[in-house]
Amino acid sequence: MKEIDLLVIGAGPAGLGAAIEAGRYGASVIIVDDQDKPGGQLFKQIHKFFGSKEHQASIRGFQIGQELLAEAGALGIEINLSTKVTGIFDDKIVSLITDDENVSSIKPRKIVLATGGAEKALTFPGWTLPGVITAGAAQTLCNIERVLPGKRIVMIGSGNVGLIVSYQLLQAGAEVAALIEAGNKIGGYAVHAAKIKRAGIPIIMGHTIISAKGKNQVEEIEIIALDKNWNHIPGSEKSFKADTICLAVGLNPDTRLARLAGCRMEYYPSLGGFLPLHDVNMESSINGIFVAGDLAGIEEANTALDEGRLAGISSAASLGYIKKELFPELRKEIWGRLGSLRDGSLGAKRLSAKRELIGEKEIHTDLSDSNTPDQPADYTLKDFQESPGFPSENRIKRGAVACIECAQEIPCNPCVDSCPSGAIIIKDSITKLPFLDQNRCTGCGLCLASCPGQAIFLLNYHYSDCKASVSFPYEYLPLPNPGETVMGVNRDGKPVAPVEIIKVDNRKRNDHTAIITVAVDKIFIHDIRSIKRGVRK
Amino acid sequence: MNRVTEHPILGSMETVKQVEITIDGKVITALEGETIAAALSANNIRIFRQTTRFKTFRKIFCGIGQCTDCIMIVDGKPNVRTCVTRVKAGMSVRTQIGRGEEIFHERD
Repeated sequence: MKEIDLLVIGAGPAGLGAAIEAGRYGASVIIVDDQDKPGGQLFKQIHKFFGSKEHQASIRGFQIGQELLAEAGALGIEINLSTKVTGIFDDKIVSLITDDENVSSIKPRKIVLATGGAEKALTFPGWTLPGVITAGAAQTLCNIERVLPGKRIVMIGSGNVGLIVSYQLLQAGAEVAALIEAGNKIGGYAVHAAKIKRAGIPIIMGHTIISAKGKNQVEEIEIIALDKNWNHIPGSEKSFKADTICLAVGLNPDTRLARLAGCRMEYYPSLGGFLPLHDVNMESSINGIFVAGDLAGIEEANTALDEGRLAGISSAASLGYIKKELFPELRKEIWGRLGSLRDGSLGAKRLSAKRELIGEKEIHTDLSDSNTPDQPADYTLKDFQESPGFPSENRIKRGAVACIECAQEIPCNPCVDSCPSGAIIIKDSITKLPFLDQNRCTGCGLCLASCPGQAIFLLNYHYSDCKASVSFPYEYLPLPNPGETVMGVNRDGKPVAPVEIIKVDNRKRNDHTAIITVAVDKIFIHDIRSIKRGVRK
Repeated sequence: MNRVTEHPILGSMETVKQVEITIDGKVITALEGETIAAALSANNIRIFRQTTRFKTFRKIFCGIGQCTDCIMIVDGKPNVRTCVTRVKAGMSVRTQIGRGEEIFHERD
């Protein structure tokens, strides 16, 4: 039987991170994955990631996936695909089946379980009709298989998955009829919601789906308003036509193999439900079996990657590949990065759950506990004007200036690095809001394409005597042409006034985020933030 | 067809060899390397199987091989997860009824 140092189960970001780190320090590593392609869900992520430079922020998910595979390849890490784990035994012998027919066993000294998560379903009359799919399935179809899952789609759930997949469906050319959210606040990042709002997608808050109707497939969706106690409000039912309903109602850790191995489970609702208990080294209740990524609590891909790296370092250290003095330093560095990703109001629940389950001070960041006030249900111009990234009226009237409409604390700072003048500052923690040093800002506009939230605009009050110009990021087809007149829209995607396209900057460094500049009447400088999307051929 | 041939981030679709497969005996065009579920979706086929008891129709749901809602009879073998099984030229795909003992005749 083949003996190796480390077997990593799952070739997503967590598994790749673990394998790369353990391999880097000299451990012999094999990764197995049940799918026939590596990367887990990373290759479906075509948006620019949040975080800091260390988290590879502002790089698109699939590009991070390519880099990880190249890194694993350079370290000689073997990835066995189409390989399912059928047993994990007490002596860590793992039985495998490849291509559904070839049975083998392997004896690793350590195991990292990085099995990811599974999307939750939502049940309602008609939920089994063809046309009701998970948001992940929609993402797989449109970004990997390049097939639209439907023509007119309704998204259920306003977490980051619901927001991002709605945006990606628009990018692929589908119509998103609406996004339905049962709560009274957007679940995901406000900047993701802002993108689809500018595209004119209605976000219907305080509503839930009551049925999907249709003969043999979805033809219509019925929704109803909810009161404060989540009860249906009779008489508030609304129906509209749709051929596809996407469910983005959260994920559960995929604990099947962890249970099979006998790992102790605990229930943490803010991390997605039952998950294997783990310590500060990501080691489960079973000596030598480590866990990482969504299995260890549903979070974002960059968190999964860092947790994987930690599991890899811990397993390499426990095998003696890392010096005893060095290991705590490496571990602390990763916990610091993880802490910054979990900082801020949106990460607070996950951070406190991780603290509770790990029960060590180690995972404290250097940051104070977050006391961010409750977020508003919606961010308005006033919220942006009161945030530190918004230039003053006097500054705006002096000439071209960046206008940062980022009023929600999320872990992200690529704007800081993008600015050649050092005019964007984020102090203490990457979760803090960006501060614009408006006297330093030269109005070069380089920050626009760097912002994964597409929340930075360039305002030039003095474009001409009667016109101002507004520049904004734009990632749809068709791109407009300079000289064309199109409809300028506001933050809700509502038409404001016709605008002339001055410039379409799609240079390589923007990485497919075109920066469009339009001439607008000066009075609309605070209103127009995008254009009505063109019709695809 | 509802293929995403042009994409603002991913660019134009690579030219891929077309292959023919059959769905309940009818020939459709698929792209080499894509999943059966993708090929059927691209051909606007939304019914993948029918349940035993209530005779309701099912289609792709999770898209990553976890839920088994998209299982069909592929080259005579029932319960094949079509969302994680790639097409091959000449492949025969049949709508599955229940566990796959009956043959589905209703496709129009």
